[in-house]
Amino acid sequence: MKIKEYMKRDFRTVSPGTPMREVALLFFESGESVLPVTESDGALVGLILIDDFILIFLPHYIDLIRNLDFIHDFGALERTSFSIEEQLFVAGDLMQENISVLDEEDSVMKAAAVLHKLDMPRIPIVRGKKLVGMMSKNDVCKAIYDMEGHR
Amino acid sequence: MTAQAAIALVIFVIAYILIVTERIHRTKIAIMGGILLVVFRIMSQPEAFGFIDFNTIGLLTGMMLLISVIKETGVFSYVAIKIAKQARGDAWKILLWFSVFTAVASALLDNVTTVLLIAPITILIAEMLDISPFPFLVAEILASNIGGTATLIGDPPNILIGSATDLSFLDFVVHLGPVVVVILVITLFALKITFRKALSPGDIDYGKIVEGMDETKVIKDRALLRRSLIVLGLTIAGFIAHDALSLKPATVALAGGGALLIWSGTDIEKRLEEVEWPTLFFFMGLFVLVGGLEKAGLLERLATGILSASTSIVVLSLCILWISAIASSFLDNIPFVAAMIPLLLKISTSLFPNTEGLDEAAYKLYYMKESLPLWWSLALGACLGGNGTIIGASANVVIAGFSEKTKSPLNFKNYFRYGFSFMLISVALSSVYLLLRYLLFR
Repeated sequence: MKIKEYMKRDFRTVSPGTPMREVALLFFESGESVLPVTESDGALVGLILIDDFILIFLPHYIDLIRNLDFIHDFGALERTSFSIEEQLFVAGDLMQENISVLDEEDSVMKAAAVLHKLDMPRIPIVRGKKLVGMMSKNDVCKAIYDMEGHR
Repeated sequence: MTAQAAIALVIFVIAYILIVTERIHRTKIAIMGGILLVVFRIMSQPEAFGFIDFNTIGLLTGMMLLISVIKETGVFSYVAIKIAKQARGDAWKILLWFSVFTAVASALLDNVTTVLLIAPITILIAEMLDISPFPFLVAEILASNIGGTATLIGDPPNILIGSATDLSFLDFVVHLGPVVVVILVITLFALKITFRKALSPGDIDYGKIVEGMDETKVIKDRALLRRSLIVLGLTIAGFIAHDALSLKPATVALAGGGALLIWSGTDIEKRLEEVEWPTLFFFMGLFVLVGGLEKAGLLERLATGILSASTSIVVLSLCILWISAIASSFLDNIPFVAAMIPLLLKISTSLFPNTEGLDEAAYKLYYMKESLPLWWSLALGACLGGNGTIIGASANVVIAGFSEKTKSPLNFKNYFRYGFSFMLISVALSSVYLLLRYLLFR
């Protein structure tokens, strides 16, 4: 079973210059938690993870407090908003550039193993440098289901 | 100077420069520097290992094990929330009690761990209450270094001094405790005046936010907390009694750490991961590096040089205090103190020679008693000096890191404005204390 038989060919992308506000809207509308960033020629340049997006908003010392169960209301912090410079962020500022990709000719088994190892919900699939699809854990499930059905 | 002495000096100086400039991790330098001394035959391998002070290593390891379990209990968050609630949103009261708690915890545990646990929750509470965290963080840096000065286990320079001189836990408390309390009180008073505007309330309903916090929720495992506190209490009792029981501090710390490992039923792999191996290896390498200077006779020469300038214990003590304080403001105080210790031992024995033919143990008691002001000067200077700049101590660097994403991050410049003057005040108070208690009426 090859990845290209099961990957999604219909997916949303953003360009490195897409403003943060549009990125947020796209996360919300698509329900996805990983968005690929591509150049105009379709070459993949990075990934934006929804966690990185949320982390700009969250003060990082909150990460260092082991247990937040004691709080109901963050008080003045609830009024936190993005700073002026953060509002000017574009997709290129938020994306991770050093990312793992798979080739469309790779096997579904490899996709399953890599997704599990990286703990990512989905992974970009390329032909050369060009982004041709996205393979999610759900797509892997579909492949496993088909395999069982053919036995 | 012999070729051997020259090689030892070159290795030490290069290692020291690399350590204080922090371009390469200090532990890597210490390991390589120590091993080069053996490669160049300044000392043999058994000699090199002989220079490592395993009482210091054992004490650090024992405390690290103990602290790694206590960290898990949530007790620091519990106390912090409790303080915030008791203070009913009064910012000055929160700052005061957070600082006192930081000072006490730094004296009894270690100051880096203390600020690692207390600073994030401080920032959170301050920001929830719409007060700038800046004064709180400055106060906690000062309190952690001041508190750590009071005990043998509070700050690495004291651990080194205590281990090399056989001064006991109680000696440190009795001799440094009083001046530390005075310095802390005066510092807190000065903080109140300095930051009175920043600590005035904003337009938020403190009561509602603070009452909404439930400190009982941060304690997940009450049995673990109880056991940890019992073992910590016994360990501190052990420290207080170690001299009377003829036990070394490392024995007490390792006994506490070992007992809690068993009683808490914790995972050993996880606990050993939390031991700060880089710190332990840094100390080991450093002991060998300083041993090289000693072996090559360089510290002997330096001691002779210093004593030819002055043999007055008043002058020497005050010079050690101020030089240590200024040096520790800008440089890592651990290598400084490690090199000062054998130097001071040489100065002590030269100043107070064994004229009455005492045996070795009796003679050590005699010259240690006579040279006490020198040692307390070194401890006070090296520990309090850490308050001078944002890079003066590890606790400062940790807090500055946490403050990065707040509205008023600490940097070299804005901390220096307050920290350096507070440091000067504390060292001036120490000078007065040393003069009155040890120097003027000998």
